[in-house]
Amino acid sequence: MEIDATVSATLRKVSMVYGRRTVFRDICSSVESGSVLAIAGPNGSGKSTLIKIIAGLLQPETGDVEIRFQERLLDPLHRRPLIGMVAPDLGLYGSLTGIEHVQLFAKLRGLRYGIETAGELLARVGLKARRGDPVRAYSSGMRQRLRLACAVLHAPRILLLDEPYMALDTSGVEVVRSLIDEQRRRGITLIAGNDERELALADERLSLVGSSG
Amino acid sequence: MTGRSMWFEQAFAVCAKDLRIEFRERTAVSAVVLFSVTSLVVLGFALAGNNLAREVSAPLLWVVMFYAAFSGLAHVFTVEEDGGTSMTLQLAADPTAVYFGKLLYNLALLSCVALIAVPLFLVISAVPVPYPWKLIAVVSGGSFALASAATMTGVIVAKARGRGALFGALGFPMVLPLLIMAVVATRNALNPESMAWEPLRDVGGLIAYGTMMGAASFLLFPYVWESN
Repeated sequence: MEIDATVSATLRKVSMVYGRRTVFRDICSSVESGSVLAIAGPNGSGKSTLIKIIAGLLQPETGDVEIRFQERLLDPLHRRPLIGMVAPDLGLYGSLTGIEHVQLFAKLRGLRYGIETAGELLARVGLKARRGDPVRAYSSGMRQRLRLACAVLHAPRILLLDEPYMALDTSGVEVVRSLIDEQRRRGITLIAGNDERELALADERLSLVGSSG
Repeated sequence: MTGRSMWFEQAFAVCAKDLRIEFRERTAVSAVVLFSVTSLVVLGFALAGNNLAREVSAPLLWVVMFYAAFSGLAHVFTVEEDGGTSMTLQLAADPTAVYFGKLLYNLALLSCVALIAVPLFLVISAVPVPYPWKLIAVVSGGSFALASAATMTGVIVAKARGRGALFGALGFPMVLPLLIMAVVATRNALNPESMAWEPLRDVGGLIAYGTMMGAASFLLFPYVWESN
Protein backbone atom coordinates (compact mmCIF):
# COMPACT_ATOMS: atom_id res chain seq x y z
CA MET A 1 0.00 0.00 0.00
CA GLU A 2 1.42 3.38 -1.05
CA ILE A 3 1.19 5.91 1.75
CA ASP A 4 1.27 9.63 1.12
CA ALA A 5 3.37 10.83 4.06
CA THR A 6 2.74 14.53 3.60
CA VAL A 7 0.30 15.37 6.38
CA SER A 8 0.63 15.10 10.14
CA ALA A 9 -1.21 16.30 13.24
CA THR A 10 0.50 16.84 16.57
CA LEU A 11 -1.23 17.78 19.82
CA ARG A 12 1.05 19.54 22.29
CA LYS A 13 -0.15 19.85 25.90
CA VAL A 14 -3.66 20.76 24.76
CA SER A 15 -6.01 21.76 27.60
CA MET A 16 -9.59 22.99 27.52
CA VAL A 17 -11.60 24.73 30.21
CA TYR A 18 -15.30 25.62 30.12
CA GLY A 19 -16.01 28.13 32.86
CA ARG A 20 -14.50 26.57 36.00
CA ARG A 21 -14.52 23.04 34.65
CA THR A 22 -11.37 21.57 33.16
CA VAL A 23 -12.50 19.31 30.34
CA PHE A 24 -9.05 17.83 29.67
CA ARG A 25 -5.50 18.83 30.46
CA ASP A 26 -2.13 18.49 28.72
CA ILE A 27 -3.20 16.15 25.93
CA CYS A 28 -0.25 15.07 23.81
CA SER A 29 -0.46 12.85 20.76
CA SER A 30 0.49 12.72 17.12
CA VAL A 31 -0.75 11.01 13.99
CA GLU A 32 0.91 10.62 10.60
CA SER A 33 -0.39 9.90 7.09
CA GLY A 34 -1.88 6.45 6.71
CA SER A 35 -2.79 6.18 10.40
CA VAL A 36 -6.08 6.16 12.22
CA LEU A 37 -6.22 7.55 15.77
CA ALA A 38 -9.18 6.85 18.04
CA ILE A 39 -10.16 9.32 20.76
CA ALA A 40 -12.03 7.41 23.46
CA GLY A 41 -13.53 8.42 26.77
CA PRO A 42 -16.77 8.65 28.73
CA ASN A 43 -19.51 11.18 28.00
CA GLY A 44 -18.36 14.69 28.79
CA SER A 45 -14.68 13.82 28.60
CA GLY A 46 -14.18 16.27 25.72
CA LYS A 47 -13.89 14.01 22.66
CA SER A 48 -16.03 16.27 20.46
CA THR A 49 -14.31 19.36 21.86
CA LEU A 50 -10.91 17.92 20.96
CA ILE A 51 -12.12 17.13 17.42
CA LYS A 52 -13.32 20.75 17.06
CA ILE A 53 -9.97 22.05 18.35
CA ILE A 54 -8.15 19.95 15.75
CA ALA A 55 -10.51 21.27 13.05
CA GLY A 56 -9.66 24.82 14.14
CA LEU A 57 -13.25 25.54 15.18
CA LEU A 58 -12.31 26.05 18.84
CA GLN A 59 -9.24 27.53 20.47
CA PRO A 60 -7.65 25.45 23.24
CA GLU A 61 -7.12 27.10 26.61
CA THR A 62 -3.45 26.17 26.52
CA GLY A 63 -1.23 24.15 24.21
CA ASP A 64 -1.52 23.91 20.45
CA VAL A 65 -2.40 21.67 17.54
CA GLU A 66 0.21 21.56 14.85
CA ILE A 67 -0.94 20.49 11.40
CA ARG A 68 1.78 20.11 8.78
CA PHE A 69 1.10 19.57 5.11
CA GLN A 70 4.09 18.99 2.84
CA GLU A 71 6.32 20.20 5.68
CA ARG A 72 4.41 23.47 5.90
CA LEU A 73 2.80 24.49 9.21
CA LEU A 74 -0.85 25.50 8.71
CA ASP A 75 -2.86 27.94 10.85
CA PRO A 76 -6.48 27.03 11.76
CA LEU A 77 -8.02 28.86 8.75
CA HIS A 78 -5.62 27.39 6.21
CA ARG A 79 -5.99 23.84 7.48
CA ARG A 80 -9.75 23.77 6.84
CA PRO A 81 -9.52 23.04 3.09
CA LEU A 82 -7.66 19.85 4.06
CA ILE A 83 -10.29 18.76 6.57
CA GLY A 84 -13.44 16.72 6.14
CA MET A 85 -15.55 16.40 9.26
CA VAL A 86 -18.56 14.44 10.43
CA ALA A 87 -20.14 15.31 13.78
CA PRO A 88 -23.62 15.03 15.28
CA ASP A 89 -23.88 18.81 15.68
CA LEU A 90 -22.95 19.64 12.09
CA GLY A 91 -26.30 20.80 10.74
CA LEU A 92 -27.82 20.32 7.30
CA TYR A 93 -30.34 22.47 5.43
CA GLY A 94 -33.80 20.93 5.77
CA SER A 95 -35.25 22.32 2.55
CA LEU A 96 -32.28 21.43 0.33
CA THR A 97 -32.03 17.98 -1.25
CA GLY A 98 -29.13 15.55 -0.90
CA ILE A 99 -27.88 16.44 -4.40
CA GLU A 100 -28.08 20.16 -3.61
CA HIS A 101 -26.03 19.65 -0.44
CA VAL A 102 -23.28 17.85 -2.32
CA GLN A 103 -23.26 20.49 -5.06
CA LEU A 104 -23.26 23.35 -2.53
CA PHE A 105 -20.36 21.99 -0.47
CA ALA A 106 -18.43 21.06 -3.61
CA LYS A 107 -18.78 24.64 -4.83
CA LEU A 108 -17.69 26.00 -1.44
CA ARG A 109 -14.63 23.75 -1.72
CA GLY A 110 -13.87 25.10 -5.19
CA LEU A 111 -15.06 22.01 -7.07
CA ARG A 112 -17.68 21.60 -9.77
CA TYR A 113 -20.00 18.65 -9.19
CA GLY A 114 -22.58 18.03 -11.87
CA ILE A 115 -25.76 16.09 -11.11
CA GLU A 116 -24.08 12.89 -12.28
CA THR A 117 -20.94 13.23 -10.13
CA ALA A 118 -22.98 14.27 -7.10
CA GLY A 119 -25.33 11.33 -7.75
CA GLU A 120 -22.40 8.89 -7.86
CA LEU A 121 -21.12 10.12 -4.51
CA LEU A 122 -24.59 9.82 -2.98
CA ALA A 123 -24.94 6.32 -4.45
CA ARG A 124 -21.69 5.41 -2.71
CA VAL A 125 -23.10 6.36 0.69
CA GLY A 126 -26.40 4.63 -0.06
CA LEU A 127 -28.58 7.64 -0.81
CA LYS A 128 -29.14 7.11 -4.54
CA ALA A 129 -32.88 6.52 -4.28
CA ARG A 130 -33.51 9.53 -2.01
CA ARG A 131 -31.03 11.96 -3.51
CA GLY A 132 -33.76 14.32 -4.76
CA ASP A 133 -35.69 14.43 -1.48
CA PRO A 134 -35.40 17.38 0.89
CA VAL A 135 -33.22 16.60 3.90
CA ARG A 136 -36.07 17.26 6.33
CA ALA A 137 -37.61 14.03 4.99
CA TYR A 138 -34.44 12.04 5.77
CA SER A 139 -34.08 9.73 8.75
CA SER A 140 -31.21 10.36 11.18
CA GLY A 141 -29.19 7.56 9.55
CA MET A 142 -29.69 9.08 6.10
CA ARG A 143 -28.55 12.47 7.41
CA GLN A 144 -25.43 10.82 8.77
CA ARG A 145 -24.78 9.29 5.33
CA LEU A 146 -25.16 12.73 3.75
CA ARG A 147 -22.71 14.20 6.29
CA LEU A 148 -20.24 11.49 5.28
CA ALA A 149 -20.68 12.34 1.58
CA CYS A 150 -20.16 16.08 2.22
CA ALA A 151 -17.09 15.33 4.36
CA VAL A 152 -15.23 13.34 1.69
CA LEU A 153 -16.29 15.07 -1.52
CA HIS A 154 -13.06 17.11 -1.67
CA ALA A 155 -10.80 14.12 -0.86
CA PRO A 156 -9.61 15.62 2.45
CA ARG A 157 -6.15 14.91 3.83
CA ILE A 158 -7.55 14.89 7.37
CA LEU A 159 -10.82 13.11 8.11
CA LEU A 160 -12.36 13.87 11.51
CA LEU A 161 -15.16 11.52 12.51
CA ASP A 162 -17.11 12.23 15.68
CA GLU A 163 -19.34 9.21 16.41
CA PRO A 164 -19.34 8.10 12.75
CA TYR A 165 -21.59 5.07 13.37
CA MET A 166 -24.30 7.19 14.98
CA ALA A 167 -27.73 6.09 13.70
CA LEU A 168 -26.23 3.96 10.91
CA ASP A 169 -27.44 0.49 9.95
CA THR A 170 -25.15 -2.37 8.88
CA SER A 171 -24.70 -1.08 5.33
CA GLY A 172 -23.98 2.41 6.69
CA VAL A 173 -21.29 0.98 8.96
CA GLU A 174 -19.74 -0.66 5.88
CA VAL A 175 -19.71 2.73 4.12
CA VAL A 176 -17.75 4.26 7.03
CA ARG A 177 -15.28 1.36 6.95
CA SER A 178 -14.66 1.75 3.22
CA LEU A 179 -14.20 5.52 3.57
CA ILE A 180 -11.64 4.99 6.34
CA ASP A 181 -9.79 2.41 4.21
CA GLU A 182 -9.67 4.93 1.38
CA GLN A 183 -8.52 7.67 3.76
CA ARG A 184 -5.54 5.55 4.85
CA ARG A 185 -4.15 6.00 1.33
CA ARG A 186 -4.80 9.74 1.38
CA GLY A 187 -3.96 11.06 4.83
CA ILE A 188 -4.97 10.75 8.46
CA THR A 189 -8.19 9.82 10.24
CA LEU A 190 -9.30 10.66 13.76
CA ILE A 191 -12.31 8.90 15.22
CA ALA A 192 -14.01 10.08 18.42
CA GLY A 193 -16.54 7.79 20.03
CA ASN A 194 -17.54 5.19 22.55
CA ASP A 195 -18.66 2.43 20.25
CA GLU A 196 -16.03 -0.34 20.37
CA ARG A 197 -16.70 -1.11 16.69
CA GLU A 198 -15.66 2.46 15.81
CA LEU A 199 -12.60 2.41 18.03
CA ALA A 200 -11.49 -0.96 16.65
CA LEU A 201 -10.89 0.67 13.25
CA ALA A 202 -8.00 2.68 14.69
CA ASP A 203 -4.29 1.85 14.92
CA GLU A 204 -3.78 3.86 18.10
CA ARG A 205 -5.99 5.04 20.90
CA LEU A 206 -5.98 8.25 22.93
CA SER A 207 -8.07 7.91 26.08
CA LEU A 208 -9.60 10.93 27.75
CA VAL A 209 -10.40 10.37 31.39
CA GLY A 210 -13.12 12.95 31.94
CA SER A 211 -13.62 16.00 34.12
CA SER A 212 -11.10 16.74 36.80
CA GLY A 213 -13.23 19.43 38.36
CA MET B 1 -9.43 27.80 -9.61
CA THR B 2 -7.57 30.89 -8.31
CA GLY B 3 -8.03 32.18 -4.78
CA ARG B 4 -10.03 35.20 -5.89
CA SER B 5 -12.38 33.33 -8.22
CA MET B 6 -12.92 30.69 -5.54
CA TRP B 7 -13.79 33.46 -3.06
CA PHE B 8 -16.45 34.82 -5.42
CA GLU B 9 -17.71 31.28 -6.11
CA GLN B 10 -18.12 30.76 -2.36
CA ALA B 11 -19.89 34.10 -1.86
CA PHE B 12 -22.32 33.49 -4.74
CA ALA B 13 -22.90 29.90 -3.56
CA VAL B 14 -23.87 31.16 -0.07
CA CYS B 15 -26.19 33.79 -1.58
CA ALA B 16 -27.76 31.29 -4.03
CA LYS B 17 -28.26 28.77 -1.21
CA ASP B 18 -30.06 31.37 0.95
CA LEU B 19 -32.22 32.53 -1.96
CA ARG B 20 -33.17 28.93 -2.78
CA ILE B 21 -34.08 28.20 0.86
CA GLU B 22 -36.04 31.46 1.08
CA PHE B 23 -37.86 30.67 -2.16
CA ARG B 24 -38.97 27.33 -0.66
CA GLU B 25 -39.69 28.40 2.92
CA ARG B 26 -40.55 32.11 2.50
CA THR B 27 -39.77 32.84 6.18
CA ALA B 28 -38.11 36.23 5.75
CA VAL B 29 -40.26 37.34 2.82
CA SER B 30 -43.45 36.57 4.76
CA ALA B 31 -42.28 38.59 7.78
CA VAL B 32 -41.11 41.50 5.66
CA VAL B 33 -44.14 41.66 3.35
CA LEU B 34 -46.59 41.16 6.22
CA PHE B 35 -45.05 44.04 8.18
CA SER B 36 -44.85 46.44 5.23
CA VAL B 37 -48.32 45.74 3.92
CA THR B 38 -50.13 45.79 7.29
CA SER B 39 -48.39 48.97 8.48
CA LEU B 40 -49.14 50.74 5.20
CA VAL B 41 -52.76 49.62 5.19
CA VAL B 42 -53.16 50.96 8.76
CA LEU B 43 -51.60 54.21 7.58
CA GLY B 44 -54.07 54.30 4.70
CA PHE B 45 -57.03 53.96 7.11
CA ALA B 46 -55.57 56.62 9.43
CA LEU B 47 -55.21 59.10 6.58
CA ALA B 48 -58.79 58.45 5.46
CA GLY B 49 -58.21 59.91 2.00
CA ASN B 50 -56.15 62.94 3.15
CA ASN B 51 -52.73 63.68 1.70
CA LEU B 52 -49.67 63.25 3.88
CA ALA B 53 -47.28 66.21 4.32
CA ARG B 54 -43.83 65.73 2.80
CA GLU B 55 -42.18 66.35 6.19
CA VAL B 56 -44.14 63.44 7.72
CA SER B 57 -44.06 61.07 4.76
CA ALA B 58 -40.26 60.79 4.60
CA PRO B 59 -39.79 59.52 8.20
CA LEU B 60 -42.85 57.26 7.88
CA LEU B 61 -41.40 55.63 4.76
CA TRP B 62 -38.13 54.88 6.54
CA VAL B 63 -39.85 53.61 9.68
CA VAL B 64 -41.60 51.06 7.47
CA MET B 65 -38.38 50.20 5.61
CA PHE B 66 -36.37 49.88 8.85
CA TYR B 67 -38.77 47.57 10.65
CA ALA B 68 -39.49 45.55 7.52
CA ALA B 69 -35.76 45.12 6.94
CA PHE B 70 -34.89 44.20 10.51
CA SER B 71 -37.82 41.79 10.86
CA GLY B 72 -36.49 39.72 7.98
CA LEU B 73 -32.89 40.48 7.13
CA ALA B 74 -31.29 40.06 10.49
CA HIS B 75 -32.30 36.41 10.75
CA VAL B 76 -29.90 35.21 8.09
CA PHE B 77 -27.38 34.20 10.72
CA THR B 78 -29.82 33.20 13.46
CA VAL B 79 -31.16 30.54 11.08
CA GLU B 80 -27.63 29.15 10.62
CA GLU B 81 -26.96 29.13 14.38
CA ASP B 82 -30.30 27.51 15.24
CA GLY B 83 -29.94 24.84 12.57
CA GLY B 84 -26.33 24.05 13.52
CA THR B 85 -25.22 24.89 9.98
CA SER B 86 -22.93 27.79 10.92
CA MET B 87 -20.22 25.30 11.91
CA THR B 88 -20.73 23.40 8.65
CA LEU B 89 -20.27 26.67 6.75
CA GLN B 90 -17.25 27.66 8.86
CA LEU B 91 -15.51 24.45 7.87
CA ALA B 92 -16.15 24.84 4.16
CA ALA B 93 -16.05 28.54 3.33
CA ASP B 94 -13.91 31.62 3.83
CA PRO B 95 -15.53 33.83 6.52
CA THR B 96 -15.42 36.98 4.38
CA ALA B 97 -17.03 35.10 1.47
CA VAL B 98 -19.84 34.06 3.84
CA TYR B 99 -20.30 37.70 4.87
CA PHE B 100 -20.38 38.88 1.26
CA GLY B 101 -22.84 36.14 0.28
CA LYS B 102 -25.16 37.06 3.15
CA LEU B 103 -24.87 40.77 2.26
CA LEU B 104 -25.85 40.01 -1.34
CA TYR B 105 -28.81 37.97 -0.13
CA ASN B 106 -29.94 40.80 2.19
CA LEU B 107 -29.59 43.30 -0.65
CA ALA B 108 -31.76 41.11 -2.89
CA LEU B 109 -34.38 40.77 -0.16
CA LEU B 110 -34.38 44.48 0.65
CA SER B 111 -34.75 45.32 -3.04
CA CYS B 112 -37.92 43.21 -3.05
CA VAL B 113 -39.14 45.05 0.07
CA ALA B 114 -38.48 48.41 -1.58
CA LEU B 115 -40.23 47.32 -4.78
CA ILE B 116 -43.35 46.42 -2.78
CA ALA B 117 -43.32 48.97 0.05
CA VAL B 118 -42.33 52.19 -1.75
CA PRO B 119 -44.99 52.17 -4.53
CA LEU B 120 -47.61 51.06 -2.00
CA PHE B 121 -46.56 53.86 0.35
CA LEU B 122 -46.76 56.45 -2.42
CA VAL B 123 -50.24 55.29 -3.45
CA ILE B 124 -51.57 55.25 0.12
CA SER B 125 -49.97 58.50 1.29
CA ALA B 126 -50.74 60.28 -2.03
CA VAL B 127 -47.46 62.19 -1.78
CA PRO B 128 -46.56 63.82 -5.09
CA VAL B 129 -43.20 62.71 -6.50
CA PRO B 130 -41.88 65.51 -8.70
CA TYR B 131 -38.63 63.73 -9.64
CA PRO B 132 -39.04 59.92 -9.44
CA TRP B 133 -35.37 59.23 -10.25
CA LYS B 134 -34.30 61.16 -7.14
CA LEU B 135 -36.50 59.00 -4.95
CA ILE B 136 -35.22 55.84 -6.68
CA ALA B 137 -31.63 56.96 -6.01
CA VAL B 138 -32.34 57.67 -2.32
CA VAL B 139 -34.21 54.40 -1.77
CA SER B 140 -31.43 52.43 -3.52
CA GLY B 141 -28.68 54.12 -1.47
CA GLY B 142 -30.67 53.73 1.74
CA SER B 143 -31.41 50.07 1.03
CA PHE B 144 -27.73 49.36 0.45
CA ALA B 145 -26.82 51.07 3.75
CA LEU B 146 -29.63 49.30 5.63
CA ALA B 147 -28.60 45.89 4.26
CA SER B 148 -24.98 46.51 5.35
CA ALA B 149 -26.07 47.43 8.87
CA ALA B 150 -28.58 44.56 9.17
CA THR B 151 -26.04 41.95 8.03
CA MET B 152 -23.45 42.90 10.63
CA THR B 153 -26.02 43.29 13.41
CA GLY B 154 -27.43 39.89 12.44
CA VAL B 155 -24.19 38.01 13.02
CA ILE B 156 -23.45 39.74 16.34
CA VAL B 157 -26.93 38.95 17.63
CA ALA B 158 -26.83 35.34 16.38
CA LYS B 159 -23.48 34.68 18.05
CA ALA B 160 -24.46 36.45 21.27
CA ARG B 161 -27.67 34.41 21.39
CA GLY B 162 -29.42 37.52 22.73
CA ARG B 163 -31.88 37.50 19.83
CA GLY B 164 -34.82 39.91 20.08
CA ALA B 165 -33.79 42.25 22.88
CA LEU B 166 -30.18 42.55 21.80
CA PHE B 167 -31.21 43.14 18.23
CA GLY B 168 -33.02 46.35 19.06
CA ALA B 169 -30.33 47.48 21.48
CA LEU B 170 -27.56 46.96 18.91
CA GLY B 171 -29.42 47.74 15.73
CA PHE B 172 -31.00 51.05 16.67
CA PRO B 173 -27.83 53.03 17.52
CA MET B 174 -26.09 51.55 14.49
CA VAL B 175 -28.76 52.64 12.03
CA LEU B 176 -29.78 55.94 13.67
CA PRO B 177 -27.33 58.06 11.58
CA LEU B 178 -28.46 56.20 8.48
CA LEU B 179 -32.14 56.81 9.23
CA ILE B 180 -31.55 60.53 9.78
CA MET B 181 -29.66 60.78 6.48
CA ALA B 182 -32.28 58.75 4.63
CA VAL B 183 -35.16 60.86 6.00
CA VAL B 184 -33.46 64.14 5.04
CA ALA B 185 -32.54 62.81 1.59
CA THR B 186 -36.10 61.54 0.97
CA ARG B 187 -37.57 64.90 2.05
CA ASN B 188 -35.23 66.65 -0.38
CA ALA B 189 -36.03 64.19 -3.15
CA LEU B 190 -39.75 64.85 -2.70
CA ASN B 191 -39.26 68.62 -2.67
CA PRO B 192 -40.48 70.16 -5.96
CA GLU B 193 -37.79 72.87 -5.67
CA SER B 194 -34.73 71.36 -7.28
CA MET B 195 -32.39 73.58 -5.16
CA ALA B 196 -33.09 71.41 -2.11
CA TRP B 197 -31.50 68.40 -3.76
CA GLU B 198 -27.77 67.75 -3.49
CA PRO B 199 -26.86 64.33 -4.92
CA LEU B 200 -23.45 64.16 -3.26
CA ARG B 201 -24.88 64.86 0.17
CA ASP B 202 -28.22 63.05 -0.16
CA VAL B 203 -27.30 59.86 -2.02
CA GLY B 204 -23.52 60.00 -1.53
CA GLY B 205 -23.94 60.10 2.25
CA LEU B 206 -26.08 56.96 2.23
CA ILE B 207 -23.67 55.11 -0.06
CA ALA B 208 -20.72 56.24 2.08
CA TYR B 209 -22.47 54.96 5.23
CA GLY B 210 -23.20 51.62 3.55
CA THR B 211 -19.64 51.31 2.27
CA MET B 212 -18.11 52.19 5.64
CA MET B 213 -20.41 49.77 7.44
CA GLY B 214 -19.63 47.10 4.83
CA ALA B 215 -15.88 47.67 5.09
CA ALA B 216 -15.91 47.60 8.90
CA SER B 217 -18.09 44.47 8.86
CA PHE B 218 -15.81 42.85 6.31
CA LEU B 219 -12.83 43.32 8.65
CA LEU B 220 -14.64 42.42 11.87
CA PHE B 221 -16.84 39.61 10.58
CA PRO B 222 -14.24 36.79 10.75
CA TYR B 223 -13.68 37.45 14.47
CA VAL B 224 -17.41 37.38 15.28
CA TRP B 225 -18.13 34.44 12.96
CA GLU B 226 -15.33 32.32 14.40
CA SER B 227 -16.28 32.93 18.04
CA ASN B 228 -17.80 29.59 19.08
